[in-house]
Amino acid sequence: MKDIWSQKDDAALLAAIQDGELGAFTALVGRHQRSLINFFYHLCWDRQAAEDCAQEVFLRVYSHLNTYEPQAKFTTFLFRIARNLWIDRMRSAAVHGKPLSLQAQGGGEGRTLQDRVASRAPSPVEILAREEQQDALRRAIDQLPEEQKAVVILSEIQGMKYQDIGEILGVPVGTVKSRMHTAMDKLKDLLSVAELS
Amino acid sequence: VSKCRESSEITAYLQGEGTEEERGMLRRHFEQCEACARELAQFERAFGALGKIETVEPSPDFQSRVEQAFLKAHPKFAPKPKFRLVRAASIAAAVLILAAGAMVLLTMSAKSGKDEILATMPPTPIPEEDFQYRTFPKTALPSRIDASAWGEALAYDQRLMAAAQTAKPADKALSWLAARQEPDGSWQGSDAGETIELTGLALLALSHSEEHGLAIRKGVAFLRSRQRDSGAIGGGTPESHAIATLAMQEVAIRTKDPAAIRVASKGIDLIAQQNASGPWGRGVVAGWHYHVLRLAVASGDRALTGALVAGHEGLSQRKIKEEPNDADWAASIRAELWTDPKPDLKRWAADVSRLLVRSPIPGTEPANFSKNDLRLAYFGTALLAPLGGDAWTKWWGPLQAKLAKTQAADGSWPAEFQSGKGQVYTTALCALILQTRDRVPAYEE
Repeated sequence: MKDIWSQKDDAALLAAIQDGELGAFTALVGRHQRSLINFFYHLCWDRQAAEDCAQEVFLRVYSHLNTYEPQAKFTTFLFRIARNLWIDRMRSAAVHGKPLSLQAQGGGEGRTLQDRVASRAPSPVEILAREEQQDALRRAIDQLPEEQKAVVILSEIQGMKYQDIGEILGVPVGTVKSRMHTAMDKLKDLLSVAELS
Repeated sequence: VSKCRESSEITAYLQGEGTEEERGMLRRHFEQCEACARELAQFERAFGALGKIETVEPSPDFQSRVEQAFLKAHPKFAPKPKFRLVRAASIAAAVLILAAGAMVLLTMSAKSGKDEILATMPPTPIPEEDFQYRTFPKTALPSRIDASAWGEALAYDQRLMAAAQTAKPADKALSWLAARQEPDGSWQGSDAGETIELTGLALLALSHSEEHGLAIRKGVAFLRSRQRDSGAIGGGTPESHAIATLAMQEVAIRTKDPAAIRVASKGIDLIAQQNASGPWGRGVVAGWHYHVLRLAVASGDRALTGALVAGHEGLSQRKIKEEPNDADWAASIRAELWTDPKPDLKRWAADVSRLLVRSPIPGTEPANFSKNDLRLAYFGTALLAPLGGDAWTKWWGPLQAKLAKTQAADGSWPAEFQSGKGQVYTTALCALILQTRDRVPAYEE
């Protein structure tokens, strides 16, 4: 059953979901789970929180289907929902005084040192170097204002074009371009200090 | 830090944004400007570092957790009992079912006796309550209408039937359409209603083809599975129901497929009830409805003659000439002609002159495709083909040439040929327009 769906494009899957096909929904989740979880992970550095957010986005996809225009890219639609969810969470965290990104001090929650050793088998020195490198990257990205952070994540980590990012964030392409430039201008200074080789 | 205007473009440049021309200009500048080149190298390093950011893999059970949460929120998505039954069956039984299925597929080719297999396939139950036709009471056809007036039209009905029974030679547009059919027999649209519309249009285009018997049977089985107790096919629009019904009718008339006959009869019934005492829909809906009803009468359903007579009464009284758009206007007028038992060709020739003012397909180049109106092209052709004469010649010559010019080598027409519709729609409708002359004989030979 899964194979039938995995061959279909996003638009066909969405149509099948509207026809009540659970398999199409599951296939859509399988196709986009990685990019969506990583989008949230790079915003909060908390794997569990990232998966919770991603799950909520997939559930919202179904309830927002009536606003989806078939001509539009599904990923744009998906990340617009993701972005809005993140804003909601940030607001609610601000109200409750618990910023999400502080939930995972040091990052990599859910992945023990042992996991890393088992999966890649690098030497302890390499592990340490890598940990330091990742910490430096996280700190640098966290210093960016939210709107610049989103552009950097969508553009450089998710590999999206400015045009699509503009549609997701609801801003002109020119704004995406200038936010990206300002963000990278800061990052180049922050990252050169960390000297990530 | 570079003071050049170009330095603000470095990020976009490194990310591959901009046109080739813009990028070329920037490249030449960066090659010559030392300050910019230095800055470019710094940005490149930053991008390189960013590329090393850690990514995470989804937990192995993430997909199933989301599925469970989704099912909890929307229990209607839970697998239907029949699937559970299959799962519970022993492996031996499953193998038998698969083997039987393979036999069905193998023997389904043109042998008429096997049609029964598809005819006995149970339809998918769809709850009646979400059905938009439910508000129309099932009234009996009025008896006050004198159906004898239809007598005049019998001769033309016979020619209409002869045209409907004729098989057509292979056609690359039809092969293209058949290749786009989904495994379940449908042609997929963006929602349930559009899927019915596209399946109806594709099947209508294929209905006269001998080459695509299997595709036709699969399409019939799909539409049958979407028919509800009320007779409505799918949860779409009155238009998609009428198109699907017409496709079933054409298949039923030509192949005598019992499944198609059953679906068509129930679909026609619904349309007849809606139009029992006069036209129910307007514009293109009326256009499709009266095509269905006229073909039903021609194929022997004489009880429906009253609906045609009532339709003609209503359509000729209605101010349909005020229809705002040409496609609806042409479809309304076509419905009026179609319900006219003895058309006065001279009067009709004068009435259709509005159609010759502008081409339905002004755009034969991609930049102008958005101006095309394929529904106008379809209903205009359906209206003018039986009338013949000067109007027909003026209409058909350029239209036919434009369709030939824009058809791709694989038989399809571009998706953008009608904005917002997609390639199955454009190809099916263009193929139908080209078939009109064969389907709708001229009143005068």
